[in-house]
Amino acid sequence: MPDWKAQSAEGPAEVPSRSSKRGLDWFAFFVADIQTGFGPFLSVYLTTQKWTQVDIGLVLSIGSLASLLGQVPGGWLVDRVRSKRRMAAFAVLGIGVSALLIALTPVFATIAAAKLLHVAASSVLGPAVAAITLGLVGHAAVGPRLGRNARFSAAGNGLAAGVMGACGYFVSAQAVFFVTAVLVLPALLALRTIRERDVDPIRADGGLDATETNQRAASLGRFFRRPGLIVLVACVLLFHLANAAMLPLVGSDVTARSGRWATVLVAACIIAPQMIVAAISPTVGQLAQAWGRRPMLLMGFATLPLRGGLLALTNDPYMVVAVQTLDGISGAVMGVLVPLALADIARGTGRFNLAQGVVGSATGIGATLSTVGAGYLADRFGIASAFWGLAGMGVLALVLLMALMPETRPSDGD
Amino acid sequence: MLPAVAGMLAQVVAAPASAQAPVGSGSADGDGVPGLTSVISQSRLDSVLGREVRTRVEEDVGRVVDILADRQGRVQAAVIEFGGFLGIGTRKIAVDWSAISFENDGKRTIVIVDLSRDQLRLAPEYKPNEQPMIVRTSD
Repeated sequence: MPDWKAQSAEGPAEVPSRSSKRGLDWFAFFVADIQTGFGPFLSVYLTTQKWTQVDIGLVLSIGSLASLLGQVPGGWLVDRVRSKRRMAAFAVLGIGVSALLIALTPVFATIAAAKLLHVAASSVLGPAVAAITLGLVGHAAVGPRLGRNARFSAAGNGLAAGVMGACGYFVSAQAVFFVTAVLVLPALLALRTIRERDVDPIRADGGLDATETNQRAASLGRFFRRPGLIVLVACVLLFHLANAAMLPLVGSDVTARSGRWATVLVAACIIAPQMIVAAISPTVGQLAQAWGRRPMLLMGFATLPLRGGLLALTNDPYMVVAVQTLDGISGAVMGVLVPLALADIARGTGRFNLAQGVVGSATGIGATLSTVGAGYLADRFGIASAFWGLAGMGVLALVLLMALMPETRPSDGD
Repeated sequence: MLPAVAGMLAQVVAAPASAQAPVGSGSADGDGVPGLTSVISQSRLDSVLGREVRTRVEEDVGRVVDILADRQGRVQAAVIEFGGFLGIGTRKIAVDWSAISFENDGKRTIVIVDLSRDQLRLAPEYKPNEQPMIVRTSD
């Protein structure tokens, strides 16, 4: 690690400016917006462009594979780069270019390139937002601040899902990607209002610690032996193994069960949890500070098998939407507590963003296996069995968390 | 997009079967192939993949995402993707080709499927690697 990390140890003493905090609110909001169209919607768009199923599957697989491989280097890069703000700006621009390429030239080579560009940009953008947050407010205040980020991000997600879904339905699938490209501008404007000098690059890597001042970034071997890191990564993997397939299964089940209102109900299954996340995330951040990380993590992980079980038992589409709001609780906990616990664990190592990359990879692996496994169970034994299987994985995640995850809140009472 | 190119070639090669008005044959001009003729189709042909699908009563259904043909090359079914939101929770079903027709909706061509929305949503899901269950009208 370069030596400048060890030097400017005092950091900015002043509270981050109001402008920077507001900027971060809206940056989190618009970053969530510009990511919405790149999900499963891409395959809808490519279908309208007369792509074959084989080509669509291939380009999506290239994207998933690159994403699994790219997260760790992405996080590592964010640790190494001094200006997290500039890094985030490049990433947002990359996503804008990717959206334009997708909208303008839907041929295989360009879409594959656009997908890779999007993956590369996302693998640094995710860690960079958390790094800016940590650099801005410091470790002591990061819990409630991550809660606020999650609120704006979920509001952005929910709103964008509604607007882009409507746009895809009433205008055209292509229009969604033009809207995405346009939304890059407010994202960059929000980023501009975060002042560079308010973001301490060393705090942003989890580099500064009162007890470990002047220590160089931890070696990788030593870093991965930090208490809780491997357990948290494993729990996150199991969480997404249980979680990722639930929404698509719910969606296709609701599509099959309800006629006229199917689209609206599936939209509600996507948007309602985001509204819950927006409502409760700040409280989750404050409680994580007051009660500790462990009880909040346990609460979030416990709702997952509960949701799986209820989905297995429920047939009524409207009840399904109600059960789906439980996703908001686990979503808020994952959105706030995972970066918070990582910031705890990575404190004093200078490897906060690498740790985020590792968790990002675990998320991707869990989500991929979830879709494959649940798809298999649903085909062979029916959709209820698939939900029970997912709930079982959720129980496993909860048990692992309960048995092995230490409390990571610093004991020096922040 | 190799399959698409292959499809176009297949169309050109298949054309002589209904050849009526030869456009160019022989190899005198260099780019012609002996024994190959191209014709202008007598009836209106439309591209199918990605086309919007509706039911008779103007309900939005989904899109054609694939075409299934038998060993003789006769098209038997269209795979239609429908439902969901933002691409999440969509279902694919295979609909008998005879239940499918094309109509002009002002400026664009849409696919009309001669089944109700309820019949479509209750149809078994299409799985690419299995013998497909094809939905057809009962009468």
